[in-house]
Amino acid sequence: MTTMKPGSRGADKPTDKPGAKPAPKLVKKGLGEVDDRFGTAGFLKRNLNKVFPDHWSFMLGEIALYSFVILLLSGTFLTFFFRPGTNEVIYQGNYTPLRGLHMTEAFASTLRISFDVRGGLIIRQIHHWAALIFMAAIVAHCCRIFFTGAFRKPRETNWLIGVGLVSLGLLEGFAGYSLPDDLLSGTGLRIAYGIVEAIPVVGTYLGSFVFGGQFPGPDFIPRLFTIHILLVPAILLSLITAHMLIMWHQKHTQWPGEHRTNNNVVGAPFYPAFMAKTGGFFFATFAVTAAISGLVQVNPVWLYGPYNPMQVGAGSQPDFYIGWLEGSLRMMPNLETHVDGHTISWNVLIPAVVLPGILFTAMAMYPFIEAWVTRDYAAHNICDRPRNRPGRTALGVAVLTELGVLLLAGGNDVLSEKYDISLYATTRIFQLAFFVLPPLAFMATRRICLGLQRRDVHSAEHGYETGRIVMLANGEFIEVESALPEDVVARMGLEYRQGPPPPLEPAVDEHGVRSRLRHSAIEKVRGKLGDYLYEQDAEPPPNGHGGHANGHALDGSDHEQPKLTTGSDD
Amino acid sequence: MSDHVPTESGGSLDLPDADVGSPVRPPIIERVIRPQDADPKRADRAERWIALMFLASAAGTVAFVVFYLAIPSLHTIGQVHASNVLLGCSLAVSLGGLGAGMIAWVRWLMPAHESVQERHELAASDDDLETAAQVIMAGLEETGLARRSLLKRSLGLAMGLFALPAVLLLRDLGPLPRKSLDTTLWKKGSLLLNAETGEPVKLGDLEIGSFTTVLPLKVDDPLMNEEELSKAPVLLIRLEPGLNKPAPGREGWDFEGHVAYSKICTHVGCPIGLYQKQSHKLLCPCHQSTFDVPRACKVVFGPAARALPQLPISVNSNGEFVATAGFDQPVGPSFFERS
Amino acid sequence: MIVGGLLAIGSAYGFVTARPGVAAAGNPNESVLQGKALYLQGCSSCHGLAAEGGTDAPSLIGVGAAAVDFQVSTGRMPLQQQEAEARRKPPRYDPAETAQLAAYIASLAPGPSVPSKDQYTPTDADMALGGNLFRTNCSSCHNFTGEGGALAYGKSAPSLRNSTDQQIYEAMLTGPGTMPVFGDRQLTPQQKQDIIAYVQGMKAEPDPGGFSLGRAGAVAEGLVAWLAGVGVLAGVAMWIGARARRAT
Repeated sequence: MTTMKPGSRGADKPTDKPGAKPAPKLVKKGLGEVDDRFGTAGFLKRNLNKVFPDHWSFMLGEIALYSFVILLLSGTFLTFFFRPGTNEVIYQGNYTPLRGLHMTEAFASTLRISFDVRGGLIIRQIHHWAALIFMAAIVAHCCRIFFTGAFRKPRETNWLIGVGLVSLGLLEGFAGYSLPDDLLSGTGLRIAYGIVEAIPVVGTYLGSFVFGGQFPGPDFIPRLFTIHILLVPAILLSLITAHMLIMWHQKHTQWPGEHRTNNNVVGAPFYPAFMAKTGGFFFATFAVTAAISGLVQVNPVWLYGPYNPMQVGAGSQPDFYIGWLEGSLRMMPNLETHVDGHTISWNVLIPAVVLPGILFTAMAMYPFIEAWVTRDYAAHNICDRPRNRPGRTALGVAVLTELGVLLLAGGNDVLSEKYDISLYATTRIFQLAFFVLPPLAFMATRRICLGLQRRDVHSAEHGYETGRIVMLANGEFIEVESALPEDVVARMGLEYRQGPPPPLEPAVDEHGVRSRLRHSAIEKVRGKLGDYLYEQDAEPPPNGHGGHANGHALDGSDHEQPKLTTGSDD
Repeated sequence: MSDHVPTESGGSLDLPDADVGSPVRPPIIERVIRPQDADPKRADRAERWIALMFLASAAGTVAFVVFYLAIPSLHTIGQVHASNVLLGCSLAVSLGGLGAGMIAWVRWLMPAHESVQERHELAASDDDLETAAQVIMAGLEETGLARRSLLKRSLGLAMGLFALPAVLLLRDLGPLPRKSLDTTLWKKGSLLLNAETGEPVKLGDLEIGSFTTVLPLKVDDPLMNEEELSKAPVLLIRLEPGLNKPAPGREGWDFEGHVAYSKICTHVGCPIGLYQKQSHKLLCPCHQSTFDVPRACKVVFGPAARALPQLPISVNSNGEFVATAGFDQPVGPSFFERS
Repeated sequence: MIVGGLLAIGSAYGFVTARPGVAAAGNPNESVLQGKALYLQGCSSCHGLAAEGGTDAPSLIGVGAAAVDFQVSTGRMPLQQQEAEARRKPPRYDPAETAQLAAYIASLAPGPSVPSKDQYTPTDADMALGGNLFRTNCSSCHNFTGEGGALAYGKSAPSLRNSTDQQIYEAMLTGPGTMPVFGDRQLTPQQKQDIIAYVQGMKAEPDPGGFSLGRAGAVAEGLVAWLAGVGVLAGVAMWIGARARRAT
């Protein structure tokens, strides 16, 4: 084993990279000290150069990540002042309209933060706005991952972690805004207890154990506090770390384009360009959050008053990420069955337990379902353009439409009041929309995707219309079409479109024996799904070029139509 | 310019006209020359703009400090408002200046060339896979689990059980529900007390078309804890004479047009404070369950499945409203054990 | 002669019936007569010639001067068209005429009289207590601070933004439309003053957190988070990722 004097690794040494500038002694010395202890140099050499692709849609997850950081920072400040007590106090603070009233210590300390602590209100608002932006960004990011197929192998685990993050984020937000124990959020907690109570067999026990007795339970706010500041943030932090590390290790996906293949990454190196971009984006996220917090009021608990089980306000709304559950509770018909001295409350179970259960389970299983239907088990590092996957895109839009209907239904009383629509009419309209709009959205989206594909193929083949009209010698008028640049065609990703998966084996083999696999019920289902969802319409219409019967490039050049592929890429 | 670019793993990328650039950096596949790359004066001008952004950020930070100290106390809402706006906006400038400056720095001054990097095959080589599997098997062999079924089964028993204390410790998180959900503080002889003042409501206090919230005990009564308070509120409503249609078996539960029903919605428990006097309906503001008061508060719209429980009332010799019995069923949302 | 006969009957009627607390200036009799004239002209087509009501409108006998003052001074009455509920609009009658109409209706039968300034102006009022009362009795229709709320059957509880102290008092006292009645034995005048102090205080109170989005709640906040939050930041991301400008 060689002994090294301190600082000896900084000595000049010929580099094996001709043309590279040798590093200054000081940098090598500093790096050397760290490297001696951790072996950092190897890590840095490999990872500082890591290439990250450049597209704005890849930064949606960063909005969520940086909002989380803002939540941690602002939340820590709040914990220095918030007291999660359900003991009753008489308020004597700065806010006169509530002075002298009995309220819980939780509410009183929230008032103190808002009205007595300098900077308290801005930090409280930053915390709440950051939570709203966090959830909105997660939804946007989730949509981006879904519509570009970035959940496919090898990224299924990251997708599962993501589903976990969405659900935990929802829980965390609900817990957070319920902590101040104001009239609005207390009503929400009452509803939550009612939902838990409705669960068959274990509901009342679950409610009693979670809340510490009947509603409201003296221990509930303190428990919610522990959950909100310790348990869930810890799990979120570890899941987010895992999420980032997996993404780092597997490298980011990229859009199709020139020089971009399934086996490389094109973009900018991590250090310094990407670091600067993402660092700047962190500050931008914080700045936007701070600006909104300074200018727009959020969750004004002093207007709602302290929680009192006898009181409620009209137009009570949860935060938007819970809004879809509120809507489903409102829209559900009042079904209840009484069996043998027991009650099963379908009116509460279906909207508040079954529906989210189905949604999150389906989300979690989706990568595996899609892989099974398409029989595509290869690794994919190129993003799909949504139009190139009409089935998946249409399904996603239909689900989003459904959630949108439920979200709006959750605010039906506000809509009724603001826009003068009969309250009961809004209920009926949303009940109808729940069944009618998603299939319509599915069909419309699918057709739009197929149409856009057709346009892409046409453009790749014929070029784009220049708007120049030219008269030919024989008197005929044509519009000149100019070939698209190579990189534009490459970005269309036409070679990544997918038709229905090929059959596993022929229906009848060479001896004339019918294939049992092909005729099994499951395979039939898979076949139908694949055919329908992945039906391609990228061949030009049978009557030639449609409206562009005379469209040519002036030089008569022709682009070869890209071939369809199925299954994995090269 | 070379066509074959060496990669870290020892292979090479086939990129025509590729520019290797610095040998310690990833290969560049497209050189991007922006106006400021070609003209140093433009680059200097870009630098000045970026510096301006950073200076604005610094100014914002100073402004934040000034505003924080300038509003030393928060006695009026106007001061809170001013503090919020000023601190929020100065913070936004302070952070935004940094953010904008960093982004501008990358976009305008740092090289914009497109680099390329090969993706390594994530999967290890077949040999490695085989070796790893063999290591696992060899280790398993060393544990002897395969041969020693007594060991395996007793281990399974111990491991299966050891987490039980953690689960059991949760037992005292709350009491068993037992019959707690079935009863309220209302019983025969309970006076209907005004929820705000605690005074008994007397016959004649309510006009026709009035309604009020009543409790069986005062709010500060030792028996009236938060949990009982969540089940106890009752609505006393005065209907027009002759309007009320008592449900079978409930004749006499009303008194001279006055009826009393639980205020807690049977859907998921919101208090119903919304009485529409002309249509005699109670509308829960949470999910729009609607109850028809003259018809035993049966549900006419919305997701609630049960009518509101009715409290039988009468008037005593002092003219005060009293309950002639407690509720005949649990109040509030339905649960499994409720028949 | 008919007019003379009407006048005679009207004044005789005015002498005979009790007129509790008519707060009209000038000769009470004359107020009643003028009020009746106004009534016959503007109200009787729906409410009947003797205020007995009809298929379109309820009877006004016994509603009291307070109810008339409320409905007319908020412009709800006269209704311009048959609709689910009467909405606030610019009043058709000036205060003097309103008082006359009130006097006439009050002369028909006893009912709640127009509250005096002392009664409806909050004095020694406790805004905190008033808030508590408001949240128990009023907020489930009118929203936490009186911004208004939706009701069933095409009705709504209106916003209290434009209501005066007097109108709030009168509304509680008479229960206009589908609003329940909160008589003085149920909510004492002092409690009513507390509630008025709360409502007016909340209206006057600035929003310390910034623009209040109409105090509409989480629906509006969610919209702002998406549009101003994620929307603006997506725009910033587009700036970051935009294609660099090439020289030449």
